[in-house]
Amino acid sequence: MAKFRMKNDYYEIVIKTGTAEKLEIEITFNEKEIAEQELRNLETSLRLLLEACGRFIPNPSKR
Amino acid sequence: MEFLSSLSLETRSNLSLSGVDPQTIYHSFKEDWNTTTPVMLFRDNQVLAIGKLRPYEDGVYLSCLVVRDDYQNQHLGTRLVKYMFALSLLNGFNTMYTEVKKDNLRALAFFKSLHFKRIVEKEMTYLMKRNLQ
Repeated sequence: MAKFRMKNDYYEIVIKTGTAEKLEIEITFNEKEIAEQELRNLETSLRLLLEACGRFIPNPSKR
Repeated sequence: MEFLSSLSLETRSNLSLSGVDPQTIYHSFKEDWNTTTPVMLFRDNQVLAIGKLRPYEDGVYLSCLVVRDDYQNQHLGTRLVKYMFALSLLNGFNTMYTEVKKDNLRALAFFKSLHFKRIVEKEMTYLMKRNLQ
């Protein structure tokens, strides 16, 4: 069972596993190029997911 | 089970719908976001922490954040909220709101550490906001 599924104009993202040992994400792109802001959101989301899984501890001032 | 029994009927109903997925994090699909969506942290078939998200103004509203008593001070609340940040961003929401009682200094410090800012002072609570981008 997927833990998260979301589809927008650019891609469909499915988070299949989210644990400290394994973060399994499937991204299926459509033909449209990803807008820069959407890319930034993806980057930020990935960082946050890594933080949530305990794989990345940010600088305290940036938590 | 004591933790589960302390949850509202609505939340328990959602829990049973989502099933128990060990050692992982679960949340409902986007289609469910028109209502309150529970987001949970699991370990060994047990819910350790839970929070709810629902659409609110230009973003989402976080409520009912609870970490089980015997799992306090392990940063599980922080991890759950960061997971909520990521899910909200992926769902196209750039702002998160929450409301904290003025006398709940622990919760105020917690949300401040996650860069929530007080934006409205009400009689009993502060409405807090966090830009997710």
